[in-house]
Amino acid sequence: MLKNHKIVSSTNPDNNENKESGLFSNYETNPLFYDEMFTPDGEPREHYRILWETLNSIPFEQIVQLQEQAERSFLQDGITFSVYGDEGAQERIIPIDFLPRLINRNEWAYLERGLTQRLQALNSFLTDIYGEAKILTDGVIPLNLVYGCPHYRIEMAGVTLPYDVHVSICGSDLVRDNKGYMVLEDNLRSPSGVSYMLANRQAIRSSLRNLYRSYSVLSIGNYTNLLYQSLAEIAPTGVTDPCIVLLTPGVYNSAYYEHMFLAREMGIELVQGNDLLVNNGIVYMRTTQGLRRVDVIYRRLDDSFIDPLVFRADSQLGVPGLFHAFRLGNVAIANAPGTGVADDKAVYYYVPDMIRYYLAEEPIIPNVETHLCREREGLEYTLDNLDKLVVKQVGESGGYGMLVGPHASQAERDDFARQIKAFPENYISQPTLDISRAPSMGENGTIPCHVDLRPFILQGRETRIVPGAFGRVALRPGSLVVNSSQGGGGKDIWVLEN
Amino acid sequence: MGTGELTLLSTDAQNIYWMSRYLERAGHISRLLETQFDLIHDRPASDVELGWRRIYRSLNRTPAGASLMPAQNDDVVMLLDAYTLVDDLAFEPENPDAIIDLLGKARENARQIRNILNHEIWSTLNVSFLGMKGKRLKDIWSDQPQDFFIASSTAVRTFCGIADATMYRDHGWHFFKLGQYVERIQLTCALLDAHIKLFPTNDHHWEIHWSDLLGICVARAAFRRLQSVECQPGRVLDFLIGDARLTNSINYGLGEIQKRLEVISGSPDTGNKNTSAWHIGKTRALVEFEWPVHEKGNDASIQNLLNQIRAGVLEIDSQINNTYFNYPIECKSV
Repeated sequence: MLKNHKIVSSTNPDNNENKESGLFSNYETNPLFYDEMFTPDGEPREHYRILWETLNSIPFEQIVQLQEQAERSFLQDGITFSVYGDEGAQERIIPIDFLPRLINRNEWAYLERGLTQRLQALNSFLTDIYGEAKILTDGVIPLNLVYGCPHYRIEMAGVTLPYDVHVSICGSDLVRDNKGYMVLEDNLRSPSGVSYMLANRQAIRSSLRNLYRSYSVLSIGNYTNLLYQSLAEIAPTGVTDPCIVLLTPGVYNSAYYEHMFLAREMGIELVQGNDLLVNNGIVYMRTTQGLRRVDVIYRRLDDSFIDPLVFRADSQLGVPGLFHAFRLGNVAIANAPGTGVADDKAVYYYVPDMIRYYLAEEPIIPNVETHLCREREGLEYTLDNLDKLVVKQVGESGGYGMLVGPHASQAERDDFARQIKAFPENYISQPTLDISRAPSMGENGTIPCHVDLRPFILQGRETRIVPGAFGRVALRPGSLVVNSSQGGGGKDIWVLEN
Repeated sequence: MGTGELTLLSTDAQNIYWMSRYLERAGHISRLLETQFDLIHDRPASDVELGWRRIYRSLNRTPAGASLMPAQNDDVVMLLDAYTLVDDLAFEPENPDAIIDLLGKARENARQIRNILNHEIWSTLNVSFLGMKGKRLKDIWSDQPQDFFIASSTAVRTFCGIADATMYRDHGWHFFKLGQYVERIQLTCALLDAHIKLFPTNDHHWEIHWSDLLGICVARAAFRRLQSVECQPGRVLDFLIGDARLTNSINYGLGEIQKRLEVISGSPDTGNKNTSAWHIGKTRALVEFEWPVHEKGNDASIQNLLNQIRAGVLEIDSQINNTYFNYPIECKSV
């Protein structure tokens, strides 16, 4: 058992005397990074104090056992994801970090306000660009940026939706540095991770039962009820008891567990493209009792695949005629086709402007400083500072297609520079963020790891947010990439009542 | 948040049906090997050989690599050692009916319908599969290899027991039972057919093998209690074919299929239900009316009857597929 250790501050060790701890013995704070648990002088923050005291009283070996138990339960329950291109690992569990991240109620209320504001602006933007396109004609956002975006769907022009909801489910990634929270990106197509938020909570709550009870943690258990409610509200006009289904690409999709989980929890059918058909503008699903009409489709496949008659003709995953039924207003699709234009990494730059334009408010949560390579100034700055910047492809997500300048070799930077010069409109750059860190379980104790969080915002007749998020942690030492496909793990987020 | 209606996606029904069939087959082959290990341990080599022939004939399989052997048909089993044969039936990647492959396929079906399976059912199957996944015969051979087959047949029975105790009695449940009995009857018919070929009913030297047959069909204890400790072939066949209370008998299985089909087709339906009802009625008649008056001792005729039953069940399987899984759309539009 480890005991009588001190928290180590890499800059001010004198301040850390008498901070005895078992679990946090070798933990190092660094004033460069905001630490979620410890103040710069190594003191546990007020809302973390109970956690600090409780976990210090448990032998390290026992904590390791509890962590293993949680991971085993994930494997037994089949809580897995797949990594593309990794043939040997069709099913992997997302590593779970045993130590929850705590957020106090006031901080959460601030985030809720900011996220609600953001989603309202994004939905207004989508309604606008597929309608009158005022924001473009008013010159707030460059016209060619939107119309040239590969995720802009001309087929959506003129389509009106109940409550103007294009995005019913949004997952926004938030990070924090020493100045506060920032929105790193919005995921408006098929954001995933919510099932891991719920599974992490269940696993950590049962492993840390006493600690969980010591805090008043706000419940996230009604997420699927709220999701169902939000989906039911966007059903075609006149449908009071809609038949809702979840459309999945199938069992080999990386997020299949989540699709199955959400369908089960909502009590709706989990369908694939070949379970559905369109006849005379109506969508049906094939059941053992014959065809049954479908009113709302929560789709978890990309726009390109949903209807081979309109989008990719080679799609085997979609439903021929689905988009026609959607345009007729006979079926709702969540999220609506064409929402990807609003989470394009270049359009992201303009979200604060959207908030000002549509809501006449200042953004509550700021963006990360972003440079558009499509603009000369941004391109020059990016090329001159590649060793300090993170460069991202505008059409990519999931941590793919990006260069982390400070960690890349000169050859990699040169290669990226060539690509940027060839297609500048495909790239944006952002400073390497000093993303906050939180203690995570390492092999011999706790280690500081960078963390982010992805809250899920639901939009039907009203905006709904459960007090929690899919917390992610970059488990590779020193890594800033939290994506599960790139070695990240899950971290439970506890929003505290008091 | 469900609809309150007993609807079931066709693909879900198909997955449940096949999950059940694969599990039944895995359990059956596990029991065959369990019994075979008893022969290996306690019986002369000639009995062991007959045991292997029974297995391979009933599964209509030739061991992997047999094409390289000089012998023909099931004589090839004589040229292979137990290690090779067990490996072929349990782990051979090229054998679609290897136990490990069957369990994997059942789990894959289950994975596709996890949203309608409860947690207990899924985790039972998942944990069993994960425990056996990646195993090779060399991992189990040096210890007690039969324990592996006892474990796999127990896992199947545990799964079925948990399903029985916890599954909601909607159409999904009935398709689960349909798959189980369709598979069971076909396997039992094939086993009896192979057994009769090797151990003619009018030859009473083979009593111990008829006792083994009861063991494979989990019917020995009931037979002894209800019939006799003496395993007279005619009585054994009567029991395994005609008994109405033995869950592994053909008669019982056909009754279950008929019951499930009646429930499923009780909802508004069109098309082929009458055809499947006709086929099950016809097949049951073979067991209920023809079998009791059948000329005992005429093995060719018994085998012919078993083949007719198999053909009837195969036709029912085809009707289930055409009526509920892959029906033509114009027949079912509403």
